[in-house]
Amino acid sequence: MLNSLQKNTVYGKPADDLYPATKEILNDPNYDKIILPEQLLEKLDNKESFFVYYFASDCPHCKRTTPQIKPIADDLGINMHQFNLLEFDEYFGKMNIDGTPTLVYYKEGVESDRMSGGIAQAGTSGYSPENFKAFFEKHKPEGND
Amino acid sequence: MKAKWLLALPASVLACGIALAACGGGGSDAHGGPERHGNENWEREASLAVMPSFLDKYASRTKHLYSIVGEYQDIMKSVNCYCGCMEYESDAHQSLLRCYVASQNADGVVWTDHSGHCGICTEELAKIEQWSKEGKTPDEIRQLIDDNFKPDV
Repeated sequence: MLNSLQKNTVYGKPADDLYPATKEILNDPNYDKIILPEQLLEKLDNKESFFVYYFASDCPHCKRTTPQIKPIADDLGINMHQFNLLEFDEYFGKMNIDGTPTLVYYKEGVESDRMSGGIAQAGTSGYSPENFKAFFEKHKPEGND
Repeated sequence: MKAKWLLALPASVLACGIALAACGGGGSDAHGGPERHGNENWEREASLAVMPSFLDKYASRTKHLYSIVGEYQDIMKSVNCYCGCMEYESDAHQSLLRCYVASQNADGVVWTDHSGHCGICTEELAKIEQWSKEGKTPDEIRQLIDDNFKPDV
């Protein structure tokens, strides 16, 4: 009962309980596919095949990466579920995420591939937008729940 | 601070229900568990050799990196972090060390979980460890960090 009264944000908790960085993105269309821990666990239990973008709302590197890969995912018709680890930080350990952002593909409920890190800024090493596009295209045929 | 905490007590008791242990204390004295500061959680410990309890939530690589901060703190103090934290409008980080340690004095250290959230902060320290083990000097490491992590303007 108490829980249902409190679920007044997409995070399943009141805005006052959210970190400042999370409050800032509540109405940001680049974060319109937020997935909650119980939904994630349910998808894994159901052996679904799907993409999860693990990010932290306070991570500057994520703030630069999300607006670049979100349109790529949308254009390709990818359901890129977005998990905010700042709000549910015990999932760093539970899902073995070393840092944010990390894009994971789960095939039939089991992790099969991941990209650790965001889009590199010019002059640094790391991924390009094309790398993300290739990751999406590689796994989409296996399932995009 | 104390009075505020007392006022908040009934609400937190309600919210916590019987799961008291999960809520932690609220006291900043002694070892009260992590406390929120903006987007970070801070936790006081006696020294850099004592790991904060918030690390329990993180993956093993993150735990390892926090465990070597004591060993590499001098070089970390002189290395820039290129995650963007040094450009924060308020409380900008001064070096990579600040991504792991909010403050340090004779009474102990205050750990922050910022690096736990940050792929660049952890990658920089992983590289510092690697390059140190390869025998590189602090100057060489600083240069390598800039070469690999500093974005072109």
